[in-house]
Amino acid sequence: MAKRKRYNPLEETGADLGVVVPEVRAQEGGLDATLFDGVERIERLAPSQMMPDRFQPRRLLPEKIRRRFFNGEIDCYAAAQAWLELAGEDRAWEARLAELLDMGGSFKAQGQIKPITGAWRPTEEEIFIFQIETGERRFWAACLRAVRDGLQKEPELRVEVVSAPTRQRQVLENRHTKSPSAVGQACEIAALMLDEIGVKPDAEIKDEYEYFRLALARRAPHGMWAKLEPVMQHSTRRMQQLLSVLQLSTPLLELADRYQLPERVLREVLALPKAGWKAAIQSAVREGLTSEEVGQLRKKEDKPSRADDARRSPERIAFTGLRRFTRAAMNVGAQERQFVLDGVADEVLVQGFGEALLPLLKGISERIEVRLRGRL
Amino acid sequence: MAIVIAVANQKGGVGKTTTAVNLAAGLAIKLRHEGHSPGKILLVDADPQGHGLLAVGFGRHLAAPEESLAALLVETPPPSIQRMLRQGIHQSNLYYIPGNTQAMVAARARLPSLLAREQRLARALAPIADTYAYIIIDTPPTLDDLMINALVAATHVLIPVEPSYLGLSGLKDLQQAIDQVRVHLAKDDLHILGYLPTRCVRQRVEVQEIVDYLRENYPARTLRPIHETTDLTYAHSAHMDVFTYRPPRSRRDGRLESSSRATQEYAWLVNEVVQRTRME
Repeated sequence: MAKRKRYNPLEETGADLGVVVPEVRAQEGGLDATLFDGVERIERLAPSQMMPDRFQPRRLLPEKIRRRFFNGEIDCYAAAQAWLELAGEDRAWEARLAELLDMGGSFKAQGQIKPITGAWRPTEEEIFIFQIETGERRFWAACLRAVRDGLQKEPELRVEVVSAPTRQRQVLENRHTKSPSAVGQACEIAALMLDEIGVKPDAEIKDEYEYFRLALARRAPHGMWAKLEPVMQHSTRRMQQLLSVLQLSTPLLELADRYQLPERVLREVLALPKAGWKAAIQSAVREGLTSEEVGQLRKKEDKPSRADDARRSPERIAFTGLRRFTRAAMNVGAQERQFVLDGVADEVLVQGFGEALLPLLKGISERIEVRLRGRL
Repeated sequence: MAIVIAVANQKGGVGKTTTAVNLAAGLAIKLRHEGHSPGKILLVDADPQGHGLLAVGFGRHLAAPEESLAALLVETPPPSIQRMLRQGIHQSNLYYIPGNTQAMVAARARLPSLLAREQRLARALAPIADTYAYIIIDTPPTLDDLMINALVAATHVLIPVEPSYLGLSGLKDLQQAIDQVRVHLAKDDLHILGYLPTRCVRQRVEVQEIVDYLRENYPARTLRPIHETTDLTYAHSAHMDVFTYRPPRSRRDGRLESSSRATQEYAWLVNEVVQRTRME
């Protein structure tokens, strides 16, 4: 007779029983953690019941509005209104806001896919506010959209209350959505490092960058960089390079963050004498300098001369010129842009190279079109 | 950590809600005057009738089931208690959780089938316990899971006792329930704060006999009686606590009592509660 299978109830799984049995995960941290970790509770809150994390490494709000918002002088909707007005005057903010407004629009069309995470915190006014851990972009997207569409009733956002917000989760969420600027990444590394060594943000600090700069003065504990590598998805050397960006003063960091200056440009700026940092950053923003061009400033602190042009390739010279043209034209509002283009066309004709320019412009536009189509 | 006082007696009509509301309001006024930190009081109405909420938050005292106390008791995981808290309309530092009568009745019916049913209120209050000086829980007039939840959540029990035969008859059952909570639910720290003779009518001889009996058997725990007065009834009708209904001419010195006897008696209770709980 064939040997019959003997069952052991301690080893039976859901598959044996023909049912789906939820896996019970062993948790650390006490009974509350066991009960609630892994069990999600999604609730709905209005933006006025929430507050972004002032020490979130990736800064979204423009500086002018940020201080007033976090000081409690204005609420989230007044901040969103001010932001919309600012975007009308500044192209850097216009582009960023367009993304957030699109996101807000998608909430209406498709619903909010990911909840905002955070935890309840008591405030000085003795009420509770939901402090956002991840999802600040969703928060501002909803506020901007509500203000722009003139909604009478506050939108409600899906939130998940977490028992212990972590900086790691915040940074990972930043990486998954839209990678922050070099300045943002420097702040992320600093925040993770400070969290690792137990240095918490001080609510009394007025300038959040001062908190992140503390990381420059601290010695990284053994093994810390290896721990941060999978979170930041950068090598240790790269993280150290990014961290050094925090040597810049707060106004320069804000400028570099707003215009998303890459790390290699900032590295070249830092290699200049300190007195030249401000001018270099401003030039990098205004003229769209590359890291090589900033590097040239070390040798000569003037703009690239004709002698320098001669050393550069024709493609590089033409590309730099086109980029400057694009940035100059995009730096104004749509209506003014027409006047700018009229002015440029008039000048080209007056200078006498209109006929030579036309086929070149046609050639470059065809090539760009082909490449764009290929990307789609 | 908050001092949590359950006002409990399974006999109905003994003045639990009146005591809970006036104690909470009196503590709020006193702590606000003293500049105590934290100086907030929370009133939790675990009685499905929800009458306690009328006096602290009338007009805003009800909420949808998922936004009310019932959701905290039956849902897993429970909703955030922080977003449910509402500020009282008469005392700025007195807060409450809105109710829903049907939801509480349903919660009471559902609780026996839920795991850890005795601890649900305690768990719901845990995240905010540090931010309140006192949490006062009004309980239903039955020895059911809602009452047990209140006892488990509490650090102290205040027992209003109507001085009559019927008023005394359920006292033993309540004391046994408290002992069982202490032993079986590991609540060694649950104290009986006191026995509070309520609805006393001076003309009735039985009243004094029973008050004397309480003093004889529980000398340290028998509190000064609260007499039946129209001010207490009318305060309820006006949806107020008695200190708001009959205020003194001036509260500048933190005075609670006015010429109304009810305010004087409850003011004494408030001061006695503060003294007894601070001494521990």
